[in-house]
Amino acid sequence: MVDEPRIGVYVCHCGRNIAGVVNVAEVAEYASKLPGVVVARDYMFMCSQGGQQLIQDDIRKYRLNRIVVASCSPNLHEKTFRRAAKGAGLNPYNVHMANIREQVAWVTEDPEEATEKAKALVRGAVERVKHHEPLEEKKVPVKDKVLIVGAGIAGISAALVCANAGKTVYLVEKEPSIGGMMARFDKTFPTLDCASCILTPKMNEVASHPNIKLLTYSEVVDVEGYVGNFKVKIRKKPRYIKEDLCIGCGDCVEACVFKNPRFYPKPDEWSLGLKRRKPIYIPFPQAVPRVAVIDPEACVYLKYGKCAQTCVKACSRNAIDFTQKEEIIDVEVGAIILATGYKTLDLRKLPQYGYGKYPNVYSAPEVEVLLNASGPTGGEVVLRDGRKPESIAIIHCVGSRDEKYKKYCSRICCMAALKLAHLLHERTGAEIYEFYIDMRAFGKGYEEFYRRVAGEGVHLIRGKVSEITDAALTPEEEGKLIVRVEDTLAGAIRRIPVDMVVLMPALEPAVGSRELAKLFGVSVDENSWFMERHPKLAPVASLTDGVFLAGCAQGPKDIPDSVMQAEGAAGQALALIDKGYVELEPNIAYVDEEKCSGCRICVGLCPFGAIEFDEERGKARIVEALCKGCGTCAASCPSAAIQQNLFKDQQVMAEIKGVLAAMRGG
Amino acid sequence: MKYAYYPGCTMKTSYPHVEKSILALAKHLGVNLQEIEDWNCCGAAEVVNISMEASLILPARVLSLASRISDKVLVPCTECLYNLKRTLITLEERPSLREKIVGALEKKGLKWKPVKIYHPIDMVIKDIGVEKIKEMGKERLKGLRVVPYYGCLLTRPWGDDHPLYPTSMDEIFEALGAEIVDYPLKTKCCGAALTASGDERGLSLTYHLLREAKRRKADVIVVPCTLCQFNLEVFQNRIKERWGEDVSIPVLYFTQLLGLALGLGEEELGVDKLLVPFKMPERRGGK
Amino acid sequence: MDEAKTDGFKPNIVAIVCNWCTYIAADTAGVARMKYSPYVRIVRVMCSGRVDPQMVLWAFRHGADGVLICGCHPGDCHYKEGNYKAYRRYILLKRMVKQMGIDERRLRLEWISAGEAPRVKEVFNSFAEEIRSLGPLKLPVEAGSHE
Repeated sequence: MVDEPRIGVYVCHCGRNIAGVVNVAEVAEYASKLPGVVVARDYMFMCSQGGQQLIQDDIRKYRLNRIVVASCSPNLHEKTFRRAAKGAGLNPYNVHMANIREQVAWVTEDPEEATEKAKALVRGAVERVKHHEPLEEKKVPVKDKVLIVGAGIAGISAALVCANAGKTVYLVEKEPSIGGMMARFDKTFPTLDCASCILTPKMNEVASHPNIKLLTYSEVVDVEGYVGNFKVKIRKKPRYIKEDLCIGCGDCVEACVFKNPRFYPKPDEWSLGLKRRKPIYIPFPQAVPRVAVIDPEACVYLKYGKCAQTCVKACSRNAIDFTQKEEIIDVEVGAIILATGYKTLDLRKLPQYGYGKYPNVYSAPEVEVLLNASGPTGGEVVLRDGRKPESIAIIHCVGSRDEKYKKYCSRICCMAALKLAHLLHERTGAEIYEFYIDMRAFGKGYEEFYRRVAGEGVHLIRGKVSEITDAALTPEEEGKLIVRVEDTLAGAIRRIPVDMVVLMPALEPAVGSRELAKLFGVSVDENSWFMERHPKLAPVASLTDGVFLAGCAQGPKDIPDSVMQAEGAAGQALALIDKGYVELEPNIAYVDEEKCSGCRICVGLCPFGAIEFDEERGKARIVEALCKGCGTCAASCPSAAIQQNLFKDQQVMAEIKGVLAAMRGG
Repeated sequence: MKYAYYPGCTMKTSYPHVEKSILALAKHLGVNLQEIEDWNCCGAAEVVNISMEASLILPARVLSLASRISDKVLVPCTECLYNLKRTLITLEERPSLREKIVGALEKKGLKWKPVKIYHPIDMVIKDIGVEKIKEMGKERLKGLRVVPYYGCLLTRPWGDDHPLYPTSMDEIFEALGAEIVDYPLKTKCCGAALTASGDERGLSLTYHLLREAKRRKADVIVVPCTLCQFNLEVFQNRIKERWGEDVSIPVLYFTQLLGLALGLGEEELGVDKLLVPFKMPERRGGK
Repeated sequence: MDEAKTDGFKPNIVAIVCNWCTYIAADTAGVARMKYSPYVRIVRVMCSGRVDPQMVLWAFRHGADGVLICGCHPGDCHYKEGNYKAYRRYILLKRMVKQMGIDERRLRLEWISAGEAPRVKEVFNSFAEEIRSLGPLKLPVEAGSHE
């Protein structure tokens, strides 16, 4: 203990949130009798101006040097109360919070038990705070560059905002072209805007923007550092094409030795396998950068070392370079935005719908490509067997809102299904049947769009489809796919024969997003989406300082919402950078040289290499700039010579003893 | 490998020839089946309509007796399988009911100890392994077009396989050389007890199953349940009379076809007692 | 908690939890109003790797009937590998408490990610129930001051 503690304890009612369960007056009364406590009060809303004023007045009046606030989670208001204390001249780190809302009032049924538990947590905090000492925040300058991972519509939007604000942006995309899922769409709901007409200009702006360093066909492989000062390693895969020379004329693609489309070696990624592609290709007509790429797994020369190399001969700019190697690019940035998007659920997991078995069962993204003027059929809707469909079933919630697959609503499917209904009807004149559970038309203009499509003669059938089968019962069903469904409005089981089935698959996090989460140290929620700091009030920040989230990586979103979050994330990143410095929580470790015996156990344990051994003095030393404040070294030091600020042995142990003492009726 | 064996009433009364196949196969696979002494009816589909508790105490007694023999019980009838699993899960999830049922058991000197419940399919997959079966089978089913039909209760609501599109039997018979017919009706109802009431709706369900198998040029339907076997076998003539369509096709119980594939004789598997006779495919090349 | 099961014994349990996973999951469990045993008291550290074995022994010495350590799932540590270190210490610590005559079930390590609020409830309840069934630890409680 540094000085004689004079503690003020403040128990918050949080309206009825805490006071409805916990007897707050009793807790305050209990606290007032604890040794070291000078004043203890309960108050309606501690976080309000009045509550903060109360603390400040008491600090002055009673010369308080320690503050305990028993209210909500420190994740919400620790900063508030530290600031309040600072305002009254107290070191902000002499404040500690007891979380009696999330950990007590909201999770405990019995009011007496809740009150007892609240007392225990308050006592723990009181005992702990006695051992607190004034600390200084560490100010660190911030790098004025931004890294954005993923260049779909979210990543693109965020990149343009940051770049237009004059910041250097590294935009990393693992595919050979930017554009993401949106680049596959023909039209967007609810306006039926042409998707490429609104996306392509943005893609081109990215390509030509002087502040954007575009790194396509690239992946982040390592991240170090902390908010304001991230060091990122990016691996750029070889395209075997010199990007600065290629003008995307496509002569090389034309000249490639593969001539028959049926024998092209690989399914085309952009069109989701609806057609095949050559080893050398331009991903799609609007690709950015419009540069060819050679697939080393399919190229005859790269695979076998022997080929006529007709592509090389065809290239008038000598842009083909078979010797290209992967590059590792190191960048330093102040802020990171993750915009890695989504993938759709593997429909083979729902065998009752026959995807992969019946050729005329399609996934929605495949139909988007089919409708796209740049798609394999030039926008013509032709089935895999060459027929034009006369009747089409569109099935909502395939894997969404389903206990067996994804419990959540994927948000975009209702509107996308209506859009597809409109477009498919327009292109084919087919009868369209839509099978939905609930029609969710929540966005601006969405309900109107639903009305419009409903008015176009689409058959809307409310009911979950039980199966798609080719087992016909009647002559009319022969040769068709039969949709079996309980029509919950008509109250009957129906069998509807159709030519084509479109499944609206649930969205799930993009491939590799789990690994990415680990790389960037962001948490994921129960469905593996990146977790936002707060679902309502901090929906753009991740739990890791300096890393922000945009688009579907954080959860299913449509285009407007993705763009909104992306521009929000860009705003947050800019706010962080423009401040010029960050204040780091001073929870780093330090060595008490008198106690350090120089055993070096700690040196190898630090995951960040932040502990050096001073040979001359025979002591360990913490490199403050590298210490991230995990406390592993403090836990391992046999002489307790290493301590972690804010989590010193005495502090944590006093808290443990405090919560236990109260529980034993002390 | 030792199992408590619970044959169930139907097996004992109407399907002794199928039971023969189960016992013969077990012997062949080196599985020790010990029939539960003094077993009782599982309550079938009826008792639960009268009393929830009675519908639990019957299977609970069977399970309790089984637990004296082994921690695994083999149940060849899917209705029994359903009732036993329902009891196991209900007693696990509802402590108040468990107290009552266990109390009743204890009064009769019986202890409650949960056991694992296996259908012969589970036994083959989990304890023998498809690889081993493949080795033993020597592709004896080559050239045979098989419809594996699973029915309602094997995979629903509890089972390891996909509830709507199970594939466990597909995998086993494919490993034995058979050609598996894509059969979208594999978990559709066979008509169950509705066929017995003479109701045409029940019969039409059986009809659709048979017709679809015929249309897909199947040689045989293989089933995991004796009631399915009964419906699919017995009514083929009546269906022909009613719809004028020949739907004749042999229907074998799982262990019968598996036994044949592993080289056991028709008689010891009760295959000679089938209503629609079944012949194994001729082996080409004389091997 | 089952009324019939508590029979008067209210276990003293300390849960030392990681700031990045379990603490957040516990916040989420609170926001979702999940109800769980009131006998588990959370003490926050930045990482399960910060859990000094002495903290655990200290807790037992000061009246804990059970100590729970919660960290991020293997591979998910915010500080790369702190949870592995926690795990290693835990294995040794289990052996040690046993030698001291404390039933090793009184010490438990669990991985609960930030997204797993329902697991907070599950783990806290099951641990509280286990400690309840083990009964009070009845070590003589140290009265002295800290350090």
